[in-house]
Amino acid sequence: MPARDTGGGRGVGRRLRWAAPLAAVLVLATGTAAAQGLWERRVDVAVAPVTAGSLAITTAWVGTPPTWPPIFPGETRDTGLLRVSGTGAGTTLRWKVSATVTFGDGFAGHVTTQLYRGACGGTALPSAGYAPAGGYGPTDTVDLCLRMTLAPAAPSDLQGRSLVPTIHVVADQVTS
Amino acid sequence: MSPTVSPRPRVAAVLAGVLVLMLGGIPSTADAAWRTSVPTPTAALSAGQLAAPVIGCETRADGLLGVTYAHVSWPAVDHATSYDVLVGSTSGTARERIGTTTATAFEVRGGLLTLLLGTLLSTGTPIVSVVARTGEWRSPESATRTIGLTGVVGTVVGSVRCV
Repeated sequence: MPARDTGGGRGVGRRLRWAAPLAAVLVLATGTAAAQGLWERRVDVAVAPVTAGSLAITTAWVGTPPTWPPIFPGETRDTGLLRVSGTGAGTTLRWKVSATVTFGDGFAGHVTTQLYRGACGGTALPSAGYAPAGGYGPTDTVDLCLRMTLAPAAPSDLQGRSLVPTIHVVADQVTS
Repeated sequence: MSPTVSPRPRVAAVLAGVLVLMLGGIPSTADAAWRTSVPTPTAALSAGQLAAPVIGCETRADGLLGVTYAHVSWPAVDHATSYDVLVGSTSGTARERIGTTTATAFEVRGGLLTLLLGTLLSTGTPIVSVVARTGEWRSPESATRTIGLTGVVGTVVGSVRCV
């Protein structure tokens, strides 16, 4: 049976060799703890409220809305001027105007429409929308007009029904 | 010798980029544009409606063989572009169109009443009515007027008279 080393110079040497790395680890750990112990102070400072701007428009008919007689096949009706006003908050936002038109049940496909910028019969509003160079400013206005024509071949069951025309005015941000 | 780079990290990076774009992690310019929409009803607008003609019937003779005919007339109906003249029987709702006119009168003569129409009129009392038209639109049928048939229906010697 081999003799166990219970002391002496060789045993002490091995312990010293193990002790050195252990001591280094302890020193590093202590040092890290010391770093975590650095003082810190945080102060929250309130700034003035900041809100995002907005893109907003309102619409209003100029003058008294027309009183239309009932429309028959092949006939046309023009609205008055619809004024579109920018009401957004902001100074740099620019926008373009476009519009679509919807009708009550049964009339889709039997009424043709044309939107104009300004009075009806003048400058057509492109379906992709319109903006002057650089776009409309936040508080700019533009007038629109709608011309509606009931198709000559509109079916007879539309007689006496309400068309319920609605103009959906859209403002799109102009980014370039 | 220069170090070689495995292609796997590059492929993974590209895939990751595609996934981010697909999931909308990076907004596009279109996403960033603002938009607002305002629905605005126009004034009330309704489709028109053709009124039923109001017809009258007068028996007239043209002097030939004493043959008579029914002169049916009516005031113009607003927005009507033509009128269909119909003949039927009080025994049913079937109607036969015997003519279309842009005028506001029509002469119902015996010669217009074909053999087929004679069959239609073989029961009940013969009647005449008018419908106004514009495009595909048709007005309600006018009130009917009774007519009497004498002679041989479907020939020039057949007489029609208002009753």
